[in-house]
Amino acid sequence: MPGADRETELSGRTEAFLSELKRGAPGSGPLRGSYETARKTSALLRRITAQARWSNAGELMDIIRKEGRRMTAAQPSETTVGNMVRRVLKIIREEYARLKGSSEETDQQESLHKLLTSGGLSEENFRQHFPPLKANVIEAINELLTELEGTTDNIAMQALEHIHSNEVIMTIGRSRTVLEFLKDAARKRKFHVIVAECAPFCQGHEMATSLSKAEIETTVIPDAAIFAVMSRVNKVIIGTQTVLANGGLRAVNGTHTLALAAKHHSTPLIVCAPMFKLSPQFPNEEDTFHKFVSPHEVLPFTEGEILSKVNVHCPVFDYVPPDLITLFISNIGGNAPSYIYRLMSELYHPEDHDL
Amino acid sequence: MNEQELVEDFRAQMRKDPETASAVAAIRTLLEFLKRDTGETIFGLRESLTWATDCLTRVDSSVAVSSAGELFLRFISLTSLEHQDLSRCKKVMEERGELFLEKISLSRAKVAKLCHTFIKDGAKILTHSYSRVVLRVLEKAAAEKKRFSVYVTESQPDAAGKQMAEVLKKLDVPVTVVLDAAAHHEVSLVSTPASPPLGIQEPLITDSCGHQVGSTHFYVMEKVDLVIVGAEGVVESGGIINKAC
Repeated sequence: MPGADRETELSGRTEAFLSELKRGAPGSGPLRGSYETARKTSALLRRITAQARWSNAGELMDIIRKEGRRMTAAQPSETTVGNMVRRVLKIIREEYARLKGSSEETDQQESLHKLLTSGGLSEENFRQHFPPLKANVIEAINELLTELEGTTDNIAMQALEHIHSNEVIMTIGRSRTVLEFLKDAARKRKFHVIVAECAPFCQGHEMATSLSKAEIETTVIPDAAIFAVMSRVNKVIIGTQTVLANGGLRAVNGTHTLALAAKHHSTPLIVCAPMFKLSPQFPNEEDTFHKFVSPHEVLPFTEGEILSKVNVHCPVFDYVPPDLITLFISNIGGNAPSYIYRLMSELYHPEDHDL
Repeated sequence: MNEQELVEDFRAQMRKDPETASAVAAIRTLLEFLKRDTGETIFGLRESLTWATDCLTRVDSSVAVSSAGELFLRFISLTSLEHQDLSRCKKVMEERGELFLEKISLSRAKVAKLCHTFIKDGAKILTHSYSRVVLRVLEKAAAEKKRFSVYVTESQPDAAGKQMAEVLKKLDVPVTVVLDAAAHHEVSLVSTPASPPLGIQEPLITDSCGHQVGSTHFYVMEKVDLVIVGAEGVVESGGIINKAC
């Protein structure tokens, strides 16, 4: 039966995606491939919308929420998966509201004003059936995918406003977004980049290689030298794994050190992060905040004698508080960290914060 | 409805359900006042509501009651812009008022749901005086089988902190009552050698006259992971108004 075939094919794809997530993000290394993950998640959700069996918006949202929970459980540190699921849920709500004819306002964040003036409870159970809903949702997800494709370019386009001639820029580790940002500025400006190597994975080395291929003068420094060199730096530009709900960051380890050094020298810290990295999590909430990988990178297993007497940890991420950050550059422009909560209310519905 | 009936209604609301916030009781009273109002104009209605709010503020002068009154007045102005006819306006206001009360009665549960995730296993929490919202948060965290301990400031003059401690004991949460001393005394670091700092329940610092002075918070604060407080009011700049200390 064609229906059953499609369902098995769909669950097969979902299983494949889940195992890919469990093994590690597409591509190697902890930070690489956020964009890939986001794109694959959205494509999978689009496929689920097209092929799964559902008759109204409520059922579709339940299916997507269930799949979303499975995907976030597979790799809790990969927050882009959860973010994409929440975006799609918001899309479904909007399309449903549009078809129902009710104004979009009834769905927004609760405010004191809305409490007073809205008539009728906002108890929507999304059970009405609308034939064009499927096509509308798929089209909206396509728009989302197009937006995703354009994020790096949108961010890179803003580079010339922030980087001036003969500046010394510091960065840490390897970020695809920052790489494109700097390459775009290098087309018209001459500047110097210092890259902190970011042990133990030393992704800074790859970053330096890519930058020098783009004819940018690059220097690699060890992490311990960050503070020493900071007095010569004009700006710090970094990427991040996640932007948290309070405006803080979850970035590669070493970023907090960099941020503190920048604050001490009053150097502006600019974070290049596309919108799909914005997550409704708070830093204190989950125990899954930290991710540890094999300590082999820090102390190799060949040092067997020491290993029995010493505890070795290799955390992947760092928390950077929002007061150390000057500016967020995303595909929708530059924003202050205090504005992040507002952007979040536009991207996600409050009921979807807990999947 | 004259002043006496108004005040009596407010007091009755507070007595009926001691768990409600005074702002909610004030709004209920104002709603009742609205139903019984016999004015003919919207302007008259606004004036009598302002008078009613003043009466209530004289009974309970907390920030919550006066801001509840303000909110209600604004509520009226907004509704009167939509419906020019007074009787229609009143009907709409009554409906919306009931709806509003329903929604805000859910607010403590919402706060508890959002906040309990911040409490982790093994956390030491400091709180101030008796706050029903904080109590709900801690209840929810305890219900989620989290293990934590609580320090409560005694909060004189009404020793409300002790009341909080009683309730928490019933929930099987380890709780310690901490003294809060008068903030305007100077902290003297002269401590009598005979009584070294033992636990936080003992007075720790004495000045040269032997009076208990100094804040015991210095000793508690180092051990505490998280401070959770309620608020009487939240001001526009984001600050909060709370009980002294």
